[in-house]
Formats: sequence, structure tokens, C-alpha cells
Amino acid sequence: MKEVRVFRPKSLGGTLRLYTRNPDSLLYAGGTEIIRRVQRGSGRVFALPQKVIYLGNVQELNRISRSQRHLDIGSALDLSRILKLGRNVLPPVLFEPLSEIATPAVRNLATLGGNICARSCRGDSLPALSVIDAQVELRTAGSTRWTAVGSFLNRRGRPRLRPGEILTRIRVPLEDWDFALFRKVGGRQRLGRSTLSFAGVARFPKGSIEVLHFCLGGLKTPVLRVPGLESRLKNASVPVSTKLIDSLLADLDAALGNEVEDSPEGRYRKATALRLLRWFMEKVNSRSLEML
Amino acid sequence: MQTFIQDIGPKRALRGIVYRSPFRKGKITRLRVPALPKGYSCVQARDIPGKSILSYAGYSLPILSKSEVRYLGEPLILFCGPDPGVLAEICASVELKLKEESPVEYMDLSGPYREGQIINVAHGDVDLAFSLADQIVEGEYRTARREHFYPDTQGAVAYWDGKNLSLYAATQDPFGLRSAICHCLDLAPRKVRVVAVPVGNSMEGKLLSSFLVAAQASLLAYTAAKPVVLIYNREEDLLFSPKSPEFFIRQQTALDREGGVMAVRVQIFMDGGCYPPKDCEALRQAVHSAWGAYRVPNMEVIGRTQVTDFPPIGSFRASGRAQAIFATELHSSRLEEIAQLGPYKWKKENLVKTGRKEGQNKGHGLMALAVLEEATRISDFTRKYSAYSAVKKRRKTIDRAAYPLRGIGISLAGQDAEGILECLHSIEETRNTCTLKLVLERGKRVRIFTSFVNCGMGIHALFIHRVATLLDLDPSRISVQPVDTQEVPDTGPTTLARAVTVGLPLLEQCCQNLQKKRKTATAPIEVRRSVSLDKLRAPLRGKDKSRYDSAQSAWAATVVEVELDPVSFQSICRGVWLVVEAGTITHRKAALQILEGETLRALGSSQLQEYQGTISAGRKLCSNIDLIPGAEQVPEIQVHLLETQEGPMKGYEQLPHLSVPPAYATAVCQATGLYVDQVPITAEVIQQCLEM
Amino acid sequence: MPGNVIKLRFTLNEKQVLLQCHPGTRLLDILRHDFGLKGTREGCGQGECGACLVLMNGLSVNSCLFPAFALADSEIITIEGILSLKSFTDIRKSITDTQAYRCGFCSSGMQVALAALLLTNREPNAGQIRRALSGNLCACGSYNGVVEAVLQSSSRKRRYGRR
Repeated sequence: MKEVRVFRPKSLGGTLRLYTRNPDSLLYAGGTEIIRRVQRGSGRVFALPQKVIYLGNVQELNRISRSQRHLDIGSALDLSRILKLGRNVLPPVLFEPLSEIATPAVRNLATLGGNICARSCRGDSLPALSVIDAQVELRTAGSTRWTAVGSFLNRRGRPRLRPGEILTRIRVPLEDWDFALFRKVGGRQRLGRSTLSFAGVARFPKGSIEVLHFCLGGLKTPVLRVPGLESRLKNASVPVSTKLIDSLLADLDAALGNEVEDSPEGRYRKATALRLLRWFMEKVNSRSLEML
Repeated sequence: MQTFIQDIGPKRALRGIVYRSPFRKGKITRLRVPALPKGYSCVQARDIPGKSILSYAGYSLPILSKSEVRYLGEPLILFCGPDPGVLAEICASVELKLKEESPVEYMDLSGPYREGQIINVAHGDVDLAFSLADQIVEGEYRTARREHFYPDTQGAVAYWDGKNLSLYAATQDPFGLRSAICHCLDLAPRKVRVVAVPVGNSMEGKLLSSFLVAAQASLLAYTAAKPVVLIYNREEDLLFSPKSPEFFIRQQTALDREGGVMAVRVQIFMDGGCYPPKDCEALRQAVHSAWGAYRVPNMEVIGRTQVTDFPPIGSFRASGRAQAIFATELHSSRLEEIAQLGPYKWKKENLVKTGRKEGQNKGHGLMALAVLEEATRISDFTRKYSAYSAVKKRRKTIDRAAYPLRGIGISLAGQDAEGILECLHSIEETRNTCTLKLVLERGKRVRIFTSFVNCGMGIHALFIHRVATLLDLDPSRISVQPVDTQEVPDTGPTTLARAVTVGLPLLEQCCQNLQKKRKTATAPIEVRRSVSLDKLRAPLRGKDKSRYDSAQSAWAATVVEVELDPVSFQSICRGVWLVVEAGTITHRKAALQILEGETLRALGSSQLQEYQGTISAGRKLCSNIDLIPGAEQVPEIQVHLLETQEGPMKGYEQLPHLSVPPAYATAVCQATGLYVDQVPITAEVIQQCLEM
Repeated sequence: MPGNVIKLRFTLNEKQVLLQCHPGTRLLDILRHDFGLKGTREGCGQGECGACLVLMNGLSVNSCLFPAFALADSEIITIEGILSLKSFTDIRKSITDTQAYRCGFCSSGMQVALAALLLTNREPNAGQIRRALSGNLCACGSYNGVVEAVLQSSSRKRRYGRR
């Protein structure tokens, strides 16, 4: 059996120094995605790499701090504890996807940091974090930087991490939105194979759109925002005209060209993505009428 | 807590592992086993002392393949030893060279057919009727291949002491297994003991695969002369266990001017897989149950199994029958539209004859009508159907609908008794007798001796309840003897229907005998009753010996109401109403529980993804277990038992699998306005139909 | 200490235990093979079916996804503990209606999930029960019977409520 060395640091500083000295270590928090990849069947041990840094005891990664403007969530904090904040504290557009990830037992272990970094979790938290312009803190032993969630992953879905960097916190802005929506299609709870998710937020004071963000998750690009479409809606009056909505859909259709595979599942996902955007715009319109 | 096969096995036992082909299809040119460390053994096909082919209920499968590979994952070599890690390394070191061939993935329906078995039934003059028809309606209906998830993986524990073999196996047919092992190891039956361990969730293709894993464990124990535990891991079991085959059913119906049915031609194509059964019960069920609920004056049904390179198929609940009824019900829904009758009226008018006069046997038609009427009533079917039809007519397109799409469907199905007796019957002539024993012990305790095992169907509880009622005893004083072939008689393979139609009558007779003997003898008192299956079958045959007399059938009518989201096309079930007539149900609560559970499973098989298949060696194999609904996806299910208080209890566990899928499909068709002629129906399928 | 063996101290069913094992050993295998606690089962090995659930520090977790190295100083309760410990007496009554389960393979996992729920909510409604069971797959489809059994032992009767 391969020798595995497990480090169990208790502080962030210690963790960062350890990681600098052992950059080939596996960073392990909840491990619910990692562990599925290293399964070896009944009675046999997980095929872990030689070095593992266990983050479960690192205080700074397992806490939440809150200011008036944002929430800072430790990357190794399990989803159940994040969800305990409730819908009134956590932005609803984020609460929904987190509460639907996997199963209750998995949520007791899985972390937000893991959900952002794991390739198989594209449709979960990322679209919601992207539309509210959440940021991630990336630290090494000697540096700290913040970057938008939307640009944290490259086109292949890999985290853009520099040598020695660890994702330490996720900063969630606490803004008021006139309308916010998250919707997931497919997956475990919805008895469907093709998964896709949609997150959208909008603010439209005084009858025109000040900000509107929408994001699709689960396509080839892990987090698909189309800034060109979003900017076309800026200052548009609400309710948004059918002509404008149709034009947006046509442009999104073009943008989705390479985002899905050429198969029944791919065609379904593309058609559903378009329907999701139309549905979101119709909901924005309804909400704007209610507010008038 | 139940003990399953994964829970037993001595610590000192060796572990077994199966080396499986990583290739899809081809002729083996080289198969080389590495040098084994001390304490490790291997078995290849040439080492099997007896028969190397497992045969059971019409299916045949090599225990280990010798010269060719027919499917990805086909077992080639067995290894055993103390360390699973070392065993895995040994498997990785096996050298296999193959002259690869391209597999035939799907049936070719254009002909010529790669045929296995053909079954024809016909009555009347179909050609004449078609020549006189006012219109002919055609349809093609597909039931896709299905994955079956069960959480308890297959396994067996075997002990060989040099003379006798003891085998612990999770199997529904311990005597059938014993017979198979005897053939495999060339041993007399008295030298093989099978202890049946409880089976989790039965009839999911596990019959033959339970024999296969048991044979593999036995061979290893026989070779190594040490106890061996062989348990498939989760991925292995999911990837390589038998799957439900695909069915294509072509229907042609000749109609008169009023839309009445003059004749029906049915062509059934069943994918027989790479080891097609020689005598396929599923195909026979399909042929004999096509249009079984309806009056068809002229009919011709031809069923064929086709040989493909699909992995081995297995026995599943209602296999063959469910697919044929699905095609019939979907096709009849088209005929209902043409005749401009609602589903209830059409079915009522076309149902098999409603029986004879009052005072005589009611006849199957009346039972079928009774369940149909009750299901229509309790679900408010007629009103909802009209309302949803009106909405459908006004709607222009489903993907711009502003509100959920709703539909409701109804179907009718019968589960016949003879089919249950045929099904699973071993091909060996000697197993035509079923026996059950009862022992009254001192202290007024009763023990039941039967080979029916615990498999999630409440059979043991049913038997205990029945004995308690007949002998006026507290159920706590009655027990079922652990199923051990050295201790219990052969009552045949276990299904709920067999337990009800064969086991219960034997039990009742035993109780009667016991009551008589009690008056004169003192405990312990043993009584035993047997019945010949030939004798049981005879009264079940109709006048036309080629078809079952469906007067003996249990009947179900099912209504399913669905709501589809116009954005995602994903459906939720708003309600299921299942009305069942199955004779005098003695254990009502358990029956309701079983029917509800089977309804949920049938819904899952209607809504969830079809089997993705082992397409090629290079592609990641699907082992997705999102195949059954979870607790939050359970709709409102109402099960009503119509108790006629006449006649014995009939088997009923297949009924949801027969009636739920077509009811679901017709509901989706109404909701979407699309003709969706296949099941399972997923959102992707609806999208495809929309684009067509 | 050699890198392939670690010493673990944790609480198992309210008893302090000490174990030496490879750090990558699954908690599921530790329970079944090292401690002979067979009630925790493997149904999928992926954290999907819930047959392997145990309580860890009062919360349900999938033991098939849990490596030994993360176990230190944890408090683990298995189904055997739930069925025998005094501290679970009240909860036990609500979750052990054996007639609700059919083949019984998934029952341990379901009972652990229900215990986790009942530890924080003694009168859950149907929707909450279903949500707690959303990580358990029952191939026999016995969910409704289980929900009903739990509801019967509390004052809530509607078995089809949603969350």
C-alpha cells in the first residue's frame, strides 16, 4: 500500500507555509468530489496521493464573517453551516443552489470552495456567485489577491491558481436586487440527465434597468456570462419589449453555438437555455409591473 | 436488522475477484495469467469440472468464456486470495489479446433479421379483414433498454471441504441454484448445500446473475479448498449485470368506417442480446399478452428475438408483457382519437366480452371493467381529460406556454397466473413439483418450511399471518425456517405471485391437515403437501390452448396525471390512481405497501433515463444510479383494492409495471400534444419530438 | 509512525476507541471490518444512496466518502448505536416501525437520516421528513410507509406535504 502522509495544520499561516514547501500536496476539505475519484472498491483504501493537507481544522477557513456590504465565507466551511445563515442573510439567488447540492449528508461535508473548484459541480454555486459579482480570495504564504468568481476558472474549467495559492475565502456582496432567480434543470432532484442552471439578478428603479446580470452554468464554458447582452439591457425600460427579448434570444442562440455537443442532450440544453432566458425576462417584466 | 450477503463470510475466507474482458467483442488469441503468489489461485474455463454453461429458465450463459468475448466485462478468469489489493494487481497483469470485431449495437429492423427465436399466434382471417378495412392505422412503439438499480450487490460465500460444498447465496431460487452448481462442479445434489440469504429487492435481473456469482464463488472454493467470499463491487455490478432488453413493436390496425377494430397485426422485436435465450419467456409473454384486454376479431402476432451484441439480458418483473401492453395502450389511444371516443369509452366498448349471466363466474371482462370504472371515478378522469384536451386545442406551442402543461392518461392491464408459473420454471423436467411443510412443535409453536426466500415482498410475513389466522395462534409463535436446501422442501423459485398462487394453497392445505392430526397426535407433528405444476396449469388454459385464460388474471387500471414545465420539459406527477382486482387479498396492508412501492418503481422506469450502454471500450461506462425516484419525488399515490371476495388471491406485483408506463406516456402525450411513442420519456425525448 | 499507518482516537457509539489503519481507509470499511458493525452498508460508494449513513458529531454523513485521516476526535454513532443507546430511546420509537421497510437494505441509512432530523426537530412535517430522506434511495419504493410511520408517532398526519 502506498505511503500517505497527512498534514493537519490548525492555522492559515501554517497551512500556507506547508503548501509552499509541499506544492504537490492534495488540499482536502470536505473531499466529497475528490474521494469519488480515488475510490477503489469495497475493502480497499482510497488511492490518495502521497501528501494530503487536511483543512478541516484550519480556523480561518472554517468561519464566516459579515459586514454591512458583504459576507466572507471560509472556503473549507461545509455547506450546511453556510445554509444555516438562512435566506434572509444569504442572498436568495445563492441560497437556492446551495440548498439543492447533492444530499443533506453530502452538504454536511462538502464546502463552497470545493464546489467552486470541482469540475463536476458547474451548475451549482458558480452561476449564482457570478451574477452577484462574488469574489474569491487567493493567498500564498507571501501574497493575497482577489479575483471575480467569473474569471477564476479558465475555459476548460480549471482554477486559475498561481503556484502556492489556496482559495481561502469567498466574498459574497450583500446587495438589494429587485429581482433574483436561480433555476436548475435536470440532476438528481429533477429526474433528468442533462443538467443546466440559470441565475439572474436585476435592478430596475424608476422603470428602467439599472443592472441586469444573467449566467448559465453546466455548459462547456463552466460559467457563461454574455456581457454584450447584459449591456444591451442597460437603461432599457421595463417591461422589456418582446422585440428586444427576441433579439436577445437570437444573440444568445449564436453565442451558444459551441457551448453544447451535437447530440440530443446538447440540443436539449441549448433549447432549454434559450427558454430559460425568455422565462427570466418574462419574470422580470411581471415583477416590474407589480412594482409600478 | 436483516443480514445480507455482504454481511457474512468468515474473516479467514479468501476474497474472490473476476477478471473481465476490457474489450467489446472478438476472438481470444492470447490469454495469459501471471505467476501467482503463494496462497492465490485461479480458475479458467478449462478448469470447470462439469458444465461450463449456466442454463436457467430459457437463458444460457457461460460461467467463464473460453475462446471469444461477446460483451464488455464478460468474465474470463477467476482469482482468489487473502488480499484484495494483490488480487487487483494480478488482474491488471493479465495479458489478453483479441482479434477484435465490430459489435452490432442495435437491432436492425429492416431485415434480414439476425433471428433467435420466433413465436407466432393468430386467429381469424387477418388478410381478409385488412383488405376490407376503411382505414389502416400504423404505429411503432419502443421500450428502451433499462438499467436496474438495486443497492445490494451480487455475491456469494462458498465452502468446500473436499467432499461437500456449502454455499451462501442471495438468490430467489435456492434449489435451482443447487442444480446449477451440481452441473457446474459435477457433484450429486446431496453434496451441495445452498443457504439462501435475504435478497434485497427482487427480480431485477438478479436470478441468473445470482447463479453466475454463486458458480464463480463455488469454483474458487473448490479450487483453493478454502472458504471464498466473492462480492461484486458497486461499479462492477452496475456495469455488468443483466439489463432489460429493447423492444420495438409495430402495430397495424384495420378499422371500419366507424373506427371499430376489425383486425390487428403486431410485430414484436426483442433484443435477445449476445446470449439470446433459447426459449424466451419474455417474448412469449409479449406475444400472448398483446391486445389481451380487448376484443379483436382477427389477429396476428409475430414475435422475434434478434441477436445483437448487447450484453446478456435477464429476467425482470413483467418482462415482455409490460412492453406489449405499453404498445397496445399507446396504439389504442390513437384509435380512441380516430373513433372520437374518450379513452374510457373506447376501452369499455372494446374490452373483452364482459362474461356470462349473473350467478355464474363473472368472467374477466367484468373485472377489467370494474377496475376501469373505479379508476375513472376516483381520479375524476373524465372531467380532467376533457379540460386538458380543451387547453391543448387552444395552445399554439408548448415551449412558449405561460403555465404548466397538464395531461392525464389511463391504462388497463392484466397479470395472468399461468405466466407466473411458466416464468422462472427451470428447464429441467424434474422440477415440476412444489412442496411445502409445516411442523407443529411442542409449546404450540409452528414452523414453516419452504424454499421461498425473503426478497422484500413480505412473503414470510404473509405466510405467518395466514397460519396464525387458520390455526388461531399468535403470530409470534410462528416462524419460517431459514432457507437451507438440506432442511426445507422445494417450493420453487420465489416471486410474490408464485407464493400466492402456489405457496398459499399448499400452506392452507397443510394447516387443514395439521388441524386434523392435532386431534389424535402429539407434537411434534409434521405435515407436507405437494402439487404438480402441470396440474395447476391445466385449468388456467383457455379454449384456445395457445392463449392464457385471462379469467384467472388479476387486473389493474391506472390513471396518471402529469404536469410538465414548459421551460425544461421536465415532468412531475400530480397523482397516480391504481385500482387492482386480485381476488381475496388476505394481507391488505402489505399488499397496499407493495403496490405503492412497485408503482413508484414503475414511474421511475417511465420517467428516468434509458440505459446508456457499454458502447465501446474507450468510452466511460455509465454507472449512474440516479435511476429511481427519491423521497421528494414521490407523487400522491392512491391504491384501491377491489375485493371480490371470490376466488383465491392472485399475484399482483406486476400490475404497476404493466399499467403505469402507458398511463404516464398517454398523459405526457396529452400534456404536450405530441405523439411520444417510447418510454422512458425524458425531457430530451420531448425536445426531440418537438423538433421533428 | 510510518506514513501508511495512523493511530486514530475517536468515539464510536459513545465508547472511546483506538484504531491503527491506513489514512485512506474508508470509515465504512472501518465500521464493517474493524468493528464488525454491519448495519452500515455500501449501496453505491458515491454518496448517492444513503445506505452508508452514520452520525458524525450529530450530523449525518456518508461513511463511504469519509477517509480515516479526517476521523480523529470525532463522535460517530452508527445504526447499532441508535438502536441500543439510551440517549436515542425517544427517537427510536419514531423510526423503527419495521413494517414500513420492505427488503431492509436501505433501512439503516434511512433510520440514521431520520435520527439526524429528529435530534433537531421532534415534530417534523411530511415535507421535512422527505427532505431528510432525500439522500436515501429505496429501490423498493417504501418512502411513503416510512414517512407515515414517523408522522404517526408525532401529531402531524399529512403525508404528502412539501417543504
